[in-house]
Amino acid sequence: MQFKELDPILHSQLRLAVMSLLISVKEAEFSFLKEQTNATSGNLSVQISKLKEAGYIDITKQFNNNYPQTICKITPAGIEAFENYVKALQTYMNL
Amino acid sequence: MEQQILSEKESLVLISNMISKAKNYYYESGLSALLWGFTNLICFTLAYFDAVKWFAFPFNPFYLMGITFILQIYFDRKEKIFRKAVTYKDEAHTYVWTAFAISVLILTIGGGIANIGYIVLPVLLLLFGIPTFISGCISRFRPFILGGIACWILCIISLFYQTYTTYLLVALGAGLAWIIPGFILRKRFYKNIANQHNAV
Amino acid sequence: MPNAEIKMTEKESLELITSMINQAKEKVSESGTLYLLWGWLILFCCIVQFVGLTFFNYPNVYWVWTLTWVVLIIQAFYLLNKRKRRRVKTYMRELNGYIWLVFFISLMLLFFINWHFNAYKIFNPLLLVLYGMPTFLSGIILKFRPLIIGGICCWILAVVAVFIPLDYQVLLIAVAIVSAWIIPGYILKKNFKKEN
Repeated sequence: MQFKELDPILHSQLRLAVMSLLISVKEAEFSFLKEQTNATSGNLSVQISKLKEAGYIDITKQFNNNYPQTICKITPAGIEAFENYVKALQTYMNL
Repeated sequence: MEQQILSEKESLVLISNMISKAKNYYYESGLSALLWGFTNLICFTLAYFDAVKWFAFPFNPFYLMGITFILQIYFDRKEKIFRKAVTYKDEAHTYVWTAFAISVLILTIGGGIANIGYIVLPVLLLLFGIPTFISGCISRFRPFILGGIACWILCIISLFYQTYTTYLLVALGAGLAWIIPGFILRKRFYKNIANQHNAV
Repeated sequence: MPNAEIKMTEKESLELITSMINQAKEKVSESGTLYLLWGWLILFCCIVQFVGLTFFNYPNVYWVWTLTWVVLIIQAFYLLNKRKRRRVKTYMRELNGYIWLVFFISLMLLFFINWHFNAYKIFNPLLLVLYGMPTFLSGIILKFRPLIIGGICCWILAVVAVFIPLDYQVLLIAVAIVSAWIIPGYILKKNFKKEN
């Protein structure tokens, strides 16, 4: 069976975790991602920026009653990339 | 979480773990249920008092709904800060309750114009049951499922009265369907917060 | 706090992931068959009722509606069979199921109300309000505009029906069904064929 190439952007623990979370909800706040992944704020920020650069997620910064919020949402390109990644994983695992 | 390259197997486990965690996330303070439950309870009870002429009302008690609507918007905005993620269930809830609100508006406005009388009340109970039951099914929250069914049973019972007593039945329906589940939701909500504090 | 490791077989993991991806893609495929079936059935009953009452003055014409019970039973078997064959359950499909189930319950309640109150004046408008709800909601879930418009049409016609004489109200139901189920049903069918 031919092995498909694994997207290097997704093939990294924290970025993969973030994408998995974002594919399960409509949108999520930064603190949600931080809680679920147990990552540090700094590291999470960096990885989210990389995902945004790749066009896989959208980031919106807004103020709610003077309370800053960073809302992350997966993009259609991100969903497609994630789906391809999972399909590639399957070729490695003979599923 | 460290930045390490995982094996394919570990990747799969990570993905499904994260998805399971996200699926289990919900934010429900029970505030809306209590707000609308009490409003309906009060409005319909007042309407009953008005109908049996226990005391005259200077205005239609249902105008209170307008105040509740404004309160709802206010609470929504305040709660948005604490809502860390919007799930598909949240989206489904919004759709269902919006369709319900539109139907009730059509019923009350159209019913008022056509002057159909007391039949509005059993139909109102019928409509109350719909979003409550569906919400309960989506969230697997049994009190709502039972509340919806209770509304429908009260709807059938109300057909045998056809008088102003029906107002009380509607009030009771709102109580069973929204106030009791609302308190249950609220208790769960506070327990959730307490658990999170203890874990930290 | 250590992460609780959720034990799943690889196959279960994959099913979970696939269903979540499908949900995110919001791709719900709907062939429109049931919309067409019920759309034409109700249209047929409406026309028969109207013609029977207006032109032939035949009061027992309401029996044509018993056809709906026959079709309902057939449909129940069809759906149960389909469910066994389906592998991946999506959330939206589950929601859709609840909505139409509740629609059916509401219809039964409405008939019961009508029987007791004999509120023939308001029966048809209420029927249209009930038709509108699941149509509108399905349209939003499927992100399919014709159904959303169909649902709104039902609601508008519900208000209009209040002012129309009783015998002609059934024509409004016919119009509503065409706009809410028959036309969207054909569009759904066309899209479905195109995708497969």
